[in-house]
Amino acid sequence: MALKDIFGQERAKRFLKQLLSLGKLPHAVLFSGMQGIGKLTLAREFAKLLNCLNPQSSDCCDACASCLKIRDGHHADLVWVKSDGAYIKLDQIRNLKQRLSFRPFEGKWRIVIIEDAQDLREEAGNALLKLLEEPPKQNLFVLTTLEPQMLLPTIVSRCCHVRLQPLEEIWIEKYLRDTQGLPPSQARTIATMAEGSLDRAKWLAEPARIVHMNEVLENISRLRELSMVDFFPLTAQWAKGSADLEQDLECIKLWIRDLVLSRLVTGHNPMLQTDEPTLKQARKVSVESLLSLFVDIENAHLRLRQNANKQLTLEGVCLAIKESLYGESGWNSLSQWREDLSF
Amino acid sequence: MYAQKVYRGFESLSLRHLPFTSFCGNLPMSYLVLARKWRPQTFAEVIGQPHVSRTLQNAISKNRIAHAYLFCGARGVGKTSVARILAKTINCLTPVSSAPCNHCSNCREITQGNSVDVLEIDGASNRGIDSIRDLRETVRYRPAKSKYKIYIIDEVHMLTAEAFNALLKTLEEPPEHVLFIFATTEPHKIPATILSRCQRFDFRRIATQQLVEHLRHIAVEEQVDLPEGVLYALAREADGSMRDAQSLLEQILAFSGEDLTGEEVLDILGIVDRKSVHKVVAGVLENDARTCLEVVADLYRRGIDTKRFCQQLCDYFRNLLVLATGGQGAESLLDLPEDEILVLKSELGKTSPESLHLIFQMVLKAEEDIRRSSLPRITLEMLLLRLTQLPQLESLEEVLAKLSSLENRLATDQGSCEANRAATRAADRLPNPEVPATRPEPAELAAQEPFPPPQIVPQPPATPLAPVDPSETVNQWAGFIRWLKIKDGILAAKLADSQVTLASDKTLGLEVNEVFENVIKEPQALTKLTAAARAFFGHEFQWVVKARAAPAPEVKGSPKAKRAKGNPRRLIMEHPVVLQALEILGGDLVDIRMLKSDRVETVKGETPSEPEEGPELI
Repeated sequence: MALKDIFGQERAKRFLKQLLSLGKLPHAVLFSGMQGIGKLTLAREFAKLLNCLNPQSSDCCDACASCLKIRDGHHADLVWVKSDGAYIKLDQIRNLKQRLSFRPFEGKWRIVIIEDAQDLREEAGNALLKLLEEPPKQNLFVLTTLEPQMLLPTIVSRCCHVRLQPLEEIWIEKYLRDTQGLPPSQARTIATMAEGSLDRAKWLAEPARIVHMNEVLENISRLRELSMVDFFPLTAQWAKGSADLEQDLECIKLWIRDLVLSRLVTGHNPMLQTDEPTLKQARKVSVESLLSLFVDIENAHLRLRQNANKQLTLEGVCLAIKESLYGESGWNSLSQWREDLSF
Repeated sequence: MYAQKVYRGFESLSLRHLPFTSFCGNLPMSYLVLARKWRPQTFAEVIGQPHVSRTLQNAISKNRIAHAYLFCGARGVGKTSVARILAKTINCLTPVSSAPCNHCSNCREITQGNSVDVLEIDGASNRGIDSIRDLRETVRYRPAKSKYKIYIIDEVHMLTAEAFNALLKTLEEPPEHVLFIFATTEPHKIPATILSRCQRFDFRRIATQQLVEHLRHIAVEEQVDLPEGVLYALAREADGSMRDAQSLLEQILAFSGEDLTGEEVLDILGIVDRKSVHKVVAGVLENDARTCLEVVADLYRRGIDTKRFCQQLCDYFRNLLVLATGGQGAESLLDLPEDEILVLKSELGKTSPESLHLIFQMVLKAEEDIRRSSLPRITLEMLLLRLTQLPQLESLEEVLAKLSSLENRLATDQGSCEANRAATRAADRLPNPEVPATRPEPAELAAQEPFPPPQIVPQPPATPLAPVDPSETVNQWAGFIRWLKIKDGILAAKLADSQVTLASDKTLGLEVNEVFENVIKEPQALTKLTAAARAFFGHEFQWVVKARAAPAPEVKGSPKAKRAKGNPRRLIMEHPVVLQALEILGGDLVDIRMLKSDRVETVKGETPSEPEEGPELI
């Protein structure tokens, strides 16, 4: 694998090559971007390129000893710092400092890759500052992080900050079709839902995922005709049966987005398949109440992350859907079977 | 032995703390980033900190150098640089009017970071008490070849509490040849005892204009031509930090060989361009959902952070609000070029300050939501859609004016409006201050609903309303119940199916659901009812309470009733109440026994099933 084999990230690749060809390599580069868009891959390929013994047209050869060593992770001048437990600790940075006081051993550059720099403990981050500001010659830091805001501002300010873009849907679609062998229509759906992250796309492409999503949608449309007596068993079963309720809520969010967009934007291409009666029902509801439903679900999601009771949260969400979408909540259905009481 | 120990302490300190530049001397000269290349070497080159450099220069020329300095300030404003310049100036062999010569051996050594008498210590990695003990050992030895022995401790806020305390005595009365310089971004983490022993200098953020000028200077020196707009965008993005500005410029210079438009340049740096923000704001104010969605999709494709975009959006609405409410001279509060202020002003016409305020608050709240959201893009989209769906707000004054004009009209029309339902009048007279604040949509205000939303408890009018003709009470009974629902929901519920007949001028016949007959008859309930009726109708009534007559007879003849008669056991078994009781109590249905047939005949409705199933479940 070389730089050219990396999916997407054209801008970043062009930028790195340009830096190398101009000889203006900064001493610290920060890659930021969401999960699964190739930050570490890019960092490794960049290290290969810098140390390649016979680079070809500003890319590494991927065949020389140096490239192979970096690929297998035992190059003497590739220092890979990652969290020990939950954090990157002060001792790790002290050791790094020690190591940096010697010249690179075999390569032109010593590349220090700090994976997930947001995991730096406060002391460790501060200890890195002096090193990062004026490192010894021929050392190059590559930091990766999800969000630049998660780092000390003093660290970000010392790095050349390269923002990586989410991958384009075409790339993900192509990857899913060619590598994972998914049928084109499914690949397209997953690509739109992956939000530009290859990791997420791979996760979504697991066969059980789509089945599960359809189950969620089916549950939602079942809510429409469900009496209160059957409602609670359904949600109880759902809460127990679902492995990751947060994902289910995400799916519901996407579904509501579909409903809202189909109302506001003509010719909207829905991400999820919603059955006709539900769609029809949704058209009767005001956009405003759909949007406030979205906020409700967002809040439920947050509470779920704060360890709220799963079943209660899910019941709340389902009642909210039943109320605002199908126009009935607990009270109405209760009065319905009051009437039944007369024989 | 003692000397050896001291020597060891000194050795470990110097090895650990000196920058490493000297180790790799024979390698090819590597590229220095702009921030290092353009690090100021004299006080004159320090930008935006005149209060610091003048004070220090005066202190040096008057020979009033303190023994400890503390430099605080945000990142990239020049703390470390000034510390080095100060060290150089003090130790320079041939100073020129309190400025370092930058040529003598001392100056050069300090610049290269290998001076024996200037120790630059990283406070973050040498934060323990042992490091400070080592340091104290070395303090008492005189400088090797300069006037002063200078300790620069960077990131000093990371020292532990013990380390700080170990430093106190030394810091209070150091030997006369010693000078401490501390630099930190977080002065609040430093103990007060340390603060009081230092001369403190607070470094300011560098003004946008000064950043722009310096960037322009660098660009000229580096022989690159950059448009003014890009320089401004860089300076704004740097937020007062010179190093940030230089890092950003660096990235642009790397692309300088290629022909890039301003927008592409901003994309590289991930800076949100004003155009997108402006487009979204226009879309929001014109209720154009499609434009908003398109911009979001575009931002996403370009890899621009949704959070930053939301911040910019906040900023934009803040500027609009300042312009809308600031009155004369509000422009001077905004740090914006002339043409952007014109654009903002053109947007103002589309909206009111009240709407802007609401939008601003929503965006502010959403910024936090987006930070936490698992699907930030979707959350942003939904926020914008919500904003486009917001109705236009009216100012409180306008609403009040409308209300008072309505009141006037009512007062003049009162004679002819005798027939108006008292309920409407009661509702109109109720003071209702919440309406303009929380749900001020004009549509809501003008709504036909004569009753305020249930969360507002209406007070009975202070002066009783004009009494209603007693014969009208029968017709207005339903209105009374609805009014009562807000005032006393429980009582209203009991009266839900009731009807009244006029027995005499002062007496009303009240037929209520038989279930509630006894409850209503209680004197307490009757008092409440009388008081409510007095408030509503303006009369004191006596009540004759009766159970309501049997429901309409056709129910009996309906097929359902027939079926019920035909197979009551099956019906009872299928009845949801029974099923649920079984599920909750976990019992089995053993037997269903009919009540005595005469009771079934006399008591209608829901009662027969209930007394029966309890005793039969085992």
